[in-house]
Amino acid sequence: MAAAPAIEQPIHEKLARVWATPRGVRGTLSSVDHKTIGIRYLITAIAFLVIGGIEALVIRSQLAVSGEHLVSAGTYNMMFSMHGVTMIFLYAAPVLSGFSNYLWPLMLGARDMAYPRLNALSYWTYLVSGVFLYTSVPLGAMPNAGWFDYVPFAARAFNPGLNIDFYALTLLLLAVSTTVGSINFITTLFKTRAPGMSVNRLPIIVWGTLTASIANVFALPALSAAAVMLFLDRRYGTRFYDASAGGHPLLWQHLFWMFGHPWVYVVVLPAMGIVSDALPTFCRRPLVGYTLVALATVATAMIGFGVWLHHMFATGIPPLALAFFGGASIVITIPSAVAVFAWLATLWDGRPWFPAPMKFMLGFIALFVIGGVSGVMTAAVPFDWQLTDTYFVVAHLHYVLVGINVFPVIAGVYYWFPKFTGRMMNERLGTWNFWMMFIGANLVFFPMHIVGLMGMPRRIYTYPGGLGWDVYNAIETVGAFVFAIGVLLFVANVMWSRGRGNLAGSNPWDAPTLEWSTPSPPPAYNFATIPLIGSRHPLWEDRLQEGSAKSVLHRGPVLVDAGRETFATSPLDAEPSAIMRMPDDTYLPLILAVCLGVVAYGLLFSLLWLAAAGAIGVAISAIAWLWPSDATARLGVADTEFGELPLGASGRHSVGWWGVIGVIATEGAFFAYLLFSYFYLASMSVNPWPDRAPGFWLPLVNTLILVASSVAMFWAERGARADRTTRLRWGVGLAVALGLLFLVLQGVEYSREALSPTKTAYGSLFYTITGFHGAHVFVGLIMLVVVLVRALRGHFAAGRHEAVSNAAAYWHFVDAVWLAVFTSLYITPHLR
Amino acid sequence: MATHVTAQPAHPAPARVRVGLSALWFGLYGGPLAWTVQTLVNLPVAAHGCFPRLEPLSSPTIGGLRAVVVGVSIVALAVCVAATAVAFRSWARTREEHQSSAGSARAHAPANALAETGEGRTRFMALAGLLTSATFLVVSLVHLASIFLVSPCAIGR
Repeated sequence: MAAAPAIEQPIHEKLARVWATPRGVRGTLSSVDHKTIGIRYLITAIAFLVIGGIEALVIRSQLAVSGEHLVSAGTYNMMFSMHGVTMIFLYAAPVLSGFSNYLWPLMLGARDMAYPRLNALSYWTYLVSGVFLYTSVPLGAMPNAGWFDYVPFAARAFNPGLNIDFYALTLLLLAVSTTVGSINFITTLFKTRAPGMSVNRLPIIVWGTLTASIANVFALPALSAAAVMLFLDRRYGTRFYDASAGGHPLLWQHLFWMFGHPWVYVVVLPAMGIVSDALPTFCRRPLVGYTLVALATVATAMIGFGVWLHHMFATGIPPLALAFFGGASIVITIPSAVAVFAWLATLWDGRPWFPAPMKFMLGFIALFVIGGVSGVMTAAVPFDWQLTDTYFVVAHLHYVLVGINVFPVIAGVYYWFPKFTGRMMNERLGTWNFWMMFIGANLVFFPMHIVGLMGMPRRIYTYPGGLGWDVYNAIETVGAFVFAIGVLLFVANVMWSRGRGNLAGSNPWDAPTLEWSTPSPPPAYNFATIPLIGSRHPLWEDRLQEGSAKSVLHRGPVLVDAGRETFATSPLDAEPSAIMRMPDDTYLPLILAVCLGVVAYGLLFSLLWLAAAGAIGVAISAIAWLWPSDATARLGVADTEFGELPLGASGRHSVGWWGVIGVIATEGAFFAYLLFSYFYLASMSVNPWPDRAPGFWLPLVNTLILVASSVAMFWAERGARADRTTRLRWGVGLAVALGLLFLVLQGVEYSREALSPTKTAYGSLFYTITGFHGAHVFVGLIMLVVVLVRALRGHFAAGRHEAVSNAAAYWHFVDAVWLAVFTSLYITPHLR
Repeated sequence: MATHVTAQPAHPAPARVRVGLSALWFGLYGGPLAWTVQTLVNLPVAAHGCFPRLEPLSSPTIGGLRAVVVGVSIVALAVCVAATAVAFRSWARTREEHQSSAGSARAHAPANALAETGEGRTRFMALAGLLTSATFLVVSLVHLASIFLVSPCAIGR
């Protein structure tokens, strides 16, 4: 570690002035500080944990004894559905986003996330989605088909209220929040690390959140596609899931679990990262097998994409297809076991001590092993057939989610609370907190294995006596209340310690990672000088001697000349490549999130004018967001100790490019899932598919037009790089004209097409896929028009054409998607 | 720009010139991609071959179903083996990488610190690739084995 700080007070004051968030309502609503957003995420998610917990207590009270009628069957359905949706979507993943939002820049040596405004948008949209979902409570229309919401029960014919519409729209709002958050994490990791923090020096929680974020980018679109199709089926009469019209209920299950199983790893991998980073601190030695654990984290998620079918073992799929997924589901235990053995070896080889966070981590390991073992059992197809839809599965999933998410989260709060607040949490209360939660969790969830094996199905709201289930259910209910008392003790400890806990200092646990080098709580600018990293344990370098390089923590570059600045660095080795100007606080994320909520309410209540107003608000906010400020438009270079660095960047050096690539990846996945749906239904259809092929020649002409527009945009972007402004303007103008012509001709095609979107699943898919593509063309055109206006105003130059490159990348993507759509929808029907 | 004068740490990947990035990426992602293709091709073949539309069958409709899924699996296995070999070569070329070779500052990085601390970015990626490829080689082999252990369309046939 470097020598004592030597930075002058005026620099601290200037940084504080530049990075400070205004006080009062203005600051509350406009802050883009990652620490503020992180704490908001944590508080909101834990509030949802409490709400979901209350729903669980209602469920357990209903099941405490046989023949109970505390609530009706309908209310029970809504209770367990809301419990699942709340815990899975509104608590488990967002709480981890809270940790990562707060900690990432501090761990990575940056002053904020790569996209601070997107960070705020992610939180506000999450909050809006939670409020939206709970609007269903006063209306008595809570989701009632479970958290995985299987059709046909979720179809309108069997579930005509607003319940499922709340579910579908909530998930779409959450998808926006989670996707922008994930893209932000990915870009932050690859572009804003402190110089010297190469990828082999990352804390494991960073690996966990990075892996989860990449999984989100590719998995969430499956859920979005499924939710869109469900909403269209329910409200506009499409037939995606209607077997009588060429649709299929299993399509929902495939799409849901293509999302759902990676999501399991989304809600556990960052939590495992919390343990991998915090446990070594309490063992007073580095994590055993860092490389193996980092890799195991990534490998788990990779295999996690290929095991979705194990949720569908009982749906009649042929044995060999099941065997592929059963095998992969067993092998996935290998990387998970690597992490467990690494923790155990760290404990074995270290000098452990056991304050409250350590107790929770040890409890986590125990619960993880139990939940993991029951998971391997259900990976065996014949055994799974016996257990499907029994309480055994409920026991397994709760051991996994409570054990691998809730316990590490509580451990993480105890561990980083001193950093959040500057105060320690009460240790005695923490010990009571742990034992109540640990005993409670095992009391409530372990007997579920037994009643499951005895044949008790899940999701029954009551049961007859005399089946031998009573005593186990009674124990489970007692356990649930014991667990709830534990959660209450935790909340009480947080409230008490926040004002009265012992003062913590910057590094009360003597921890090794970078966040502990900052004051507690950290200043708005995080680091007065940007740290230069020489090893994975910057604060333990003197005792570990594990690298030849020394980190420089308090004598690095300051970056204080022109507003909020930080370094952009290279993806692998974190070599400085540019100086980034960070945005100031703004209301735009809040406005945009509220507008998204307005769209959702408009769609829910079939008030199309309201939805349209919200959409216009979204569009205006987005354009205002993207419009460059004078500060971000400035050109030039700065002389730094890393040599001359550009102010801002274009192409792959810019953070904007990474964001666009993230958008392209996730939207590409969305279209891939739509096309999967097309071919899946085609393969399952007993009728000719399609009963009549769509026209060919007009779409072919349209294809050529779109390809030509892509060529024009390519030509224009090359012109921008060469500082040829006239060529840029003409090229973008031509691309816009061709894009508009494409949309006009698509309208002509629609007017001639005899297909109906509501008669067959084929028609539903045809209009949905081409319609979504048309919407993407429209969005791309708006981007091109903004670029054109800016080009006419002379905003671009040879080294300053980020917006042109980004818009071009998006436009090429839209055109490439059309080629896939054209091949699938217009060519393959002629090949049959 | 205001700065404080700093002694910069040595480069975190002094052996980066010994192995190309494409070799490192192939080592990391060759195996997972091969297995992904193996799964995405074999699943519909195995499922549709035995349950084409509404009725499950006792024998596959696709002639040579087993040959198709075995063929795809062998290709996937070959890619996994190639990725493992490339990753091994990358690791062999960079296994001694740690900062003592950076020419800056004292040399006291333990040579066996790779698995423990991950020190040396190039060899970290190479080892990660080696382990990933090996893992997916196992996953792909399990997939292949199931073709010979499980009857494609019906239990016990």
